[in-house]
Amino acid sequence: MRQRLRDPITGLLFVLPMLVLFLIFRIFPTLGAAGMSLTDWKISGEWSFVGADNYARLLDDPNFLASLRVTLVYVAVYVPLVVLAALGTALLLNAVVFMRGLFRGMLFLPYVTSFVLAGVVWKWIYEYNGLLNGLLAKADVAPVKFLEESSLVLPALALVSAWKGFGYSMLILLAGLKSIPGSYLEAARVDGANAWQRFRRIVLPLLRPALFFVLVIETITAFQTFDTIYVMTGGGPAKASYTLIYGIYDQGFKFFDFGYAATLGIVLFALVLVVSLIQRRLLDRGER
Amino acid sequence: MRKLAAAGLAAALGVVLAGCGSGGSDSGPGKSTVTMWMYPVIGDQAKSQAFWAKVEKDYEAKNAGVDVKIDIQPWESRQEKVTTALAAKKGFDLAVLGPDQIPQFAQQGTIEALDDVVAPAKASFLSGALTALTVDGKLYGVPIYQTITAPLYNKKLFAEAGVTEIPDTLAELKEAAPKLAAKKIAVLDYPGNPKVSLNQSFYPLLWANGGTVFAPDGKSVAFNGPEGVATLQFLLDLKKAGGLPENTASKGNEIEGGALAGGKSAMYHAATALQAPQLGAAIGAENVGVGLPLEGTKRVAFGIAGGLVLAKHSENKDAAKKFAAYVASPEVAAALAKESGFYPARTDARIEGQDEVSKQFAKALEFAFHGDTHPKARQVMAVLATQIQAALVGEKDAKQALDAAAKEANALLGGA
Repeated sequence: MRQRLRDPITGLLFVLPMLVLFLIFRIFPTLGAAGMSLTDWKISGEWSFVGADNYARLLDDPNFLASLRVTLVYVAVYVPLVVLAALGTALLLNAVVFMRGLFRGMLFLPYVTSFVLAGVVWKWIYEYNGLLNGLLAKADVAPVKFLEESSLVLPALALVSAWKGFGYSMLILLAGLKSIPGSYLEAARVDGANAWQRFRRIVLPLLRPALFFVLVIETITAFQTFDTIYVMTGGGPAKASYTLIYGIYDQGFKFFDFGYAATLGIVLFALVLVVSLIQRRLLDRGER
Repeated sequence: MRKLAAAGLAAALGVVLAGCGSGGSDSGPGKSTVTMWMYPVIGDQAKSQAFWAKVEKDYEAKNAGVDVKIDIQPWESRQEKVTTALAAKKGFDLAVLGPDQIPQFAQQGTIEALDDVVAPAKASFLSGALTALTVDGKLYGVPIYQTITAPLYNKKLFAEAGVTEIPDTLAELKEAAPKLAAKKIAVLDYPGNPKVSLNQSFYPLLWANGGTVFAPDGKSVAFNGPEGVATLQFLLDLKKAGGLPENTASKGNEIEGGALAGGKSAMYHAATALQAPQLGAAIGAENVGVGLPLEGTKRVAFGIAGGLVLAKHSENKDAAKKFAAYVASPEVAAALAKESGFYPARTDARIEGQDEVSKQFAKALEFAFHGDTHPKARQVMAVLATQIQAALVGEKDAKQALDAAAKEANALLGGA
């Protein structure tokens, strides 16, 4: 009986540091933001309770609705892009034997590069007189305004974020691939399954937990992308890359409307939660 | 073993939690610390560090009980960082802010009035500088320098395009545009990136056309009036004539690495004296020209007094005020002006051996305007910059863009 009691306590002690950090840096600020969203919090720390006024404002705020649309489009472009890039490179790395460590390191390199640096470099690449247009000119293609065309700016930004972020997901998926017993694939090969059939019927189903994790993490990352947008476009052109998180930044640090900024934060939180739950449900269903 | 693990975890947790605590002041017993956020007023990083290190050392030598910390911050995101520091009640005691930034913080009550700091030598300060840093009759910034902007030209490009007289008015600028465009040169290096302050892009043109950002009562905006529409239309006409860089909507106003330094555009209408040597290094100093502010219905140049503000949360207000008075003193102000290429904000500061570029920029001082000060000036600027960008990328015409910005800005002002 004593042994049983002691085990959970030891377990709790092991997770306690993380739990405390999570409470301090995640849960408490989230609760604080929820409270702040019901106030007209000022920079001086003064506030008064305004009830659901900030939430009512959302419905009449054209910037909110526009930023919501931009955010969803960005997520829809970024997530498939980064997951495919991560899956593709993970499969390649899994197949490669020669200098695998070097390739893995090189592919992971963008992930450890700072977002701001990546943004600055890619801005040069995308610029009208930049590297990409220089290469296009060699192929007799007219210069493209990657960061000034409303229709191109989100894919251009998503590409940068995907380039920057796929390394982490690649490692998760690579670990997932490594855990698939080779005997399964060998048996399938003996039974005459071709490479696609092996991937579709064996690798993909067994990779599902890792894939689910990657999908959730990358979706959350996409919703929270700020640095790249801040450095490369500042939300422009004409708010074509003005995401919900950029709106939070503007409301908080430019307009000093911390109450409303917190409201937008709560909306983003709810959005990420709902999307993650939907993803979980869909992938769980497939697993059963 | 388990006990050992638990003890280890508890110790680790202690370390983690200790790390969450705030760092205390380590300036030693009996010393009061004054932290000042300075900006790259002196463009050369090494010179800037040496100058401020000397100021710090000299002051501490005369005032043993004070530990001064001068933290040189980048210009970029100044507004956001100062806002965060004031909200968190941490970061700085003194910081340099401009006249259009001060009213918002004064209104919020996060900075202190500083009339008593300049009182002993009030008559020595430029009256314009004091007025610009005053909100509701109280001085919130101790002027330490005065800036001015003026047009910077690539004389060679104008000559090669057959433009013998450098444009002096907005009309002449428009007239020169097609001649330079024929050589694939943009006449005006207009920075349309919303992160560039409109004080150094749209506003000087608006003011030259007789427009203002706010209505006289400050309860609504006025930039969408006929003068504003004419100003934005002027830019759109220039763009149509090939007079603006292709990436005008997203470009910043950095000289180094920009179109002006690359010989792709011919002039920037709101440059600072610091940018002249940068341009000289790229295109040859002999090709750099400095003009008077472009004339529309009048000549106006954006020029502000840099003011030291004191955070309300400061725990060493008296020491901070004393140090602010020292930085604003004639000796330090003159030395700063000489190193920075800016100008002293007081008449009793004598600068020896001022360079030629500084003298040329000084000619624009008589047209200096500190901008439309308003507690919501920066917020309105953010709204307007986005809509100007929309017009520059062709999504809206001048009137539509300014009306859309006005609607949003007026909602911010809580007015019409």
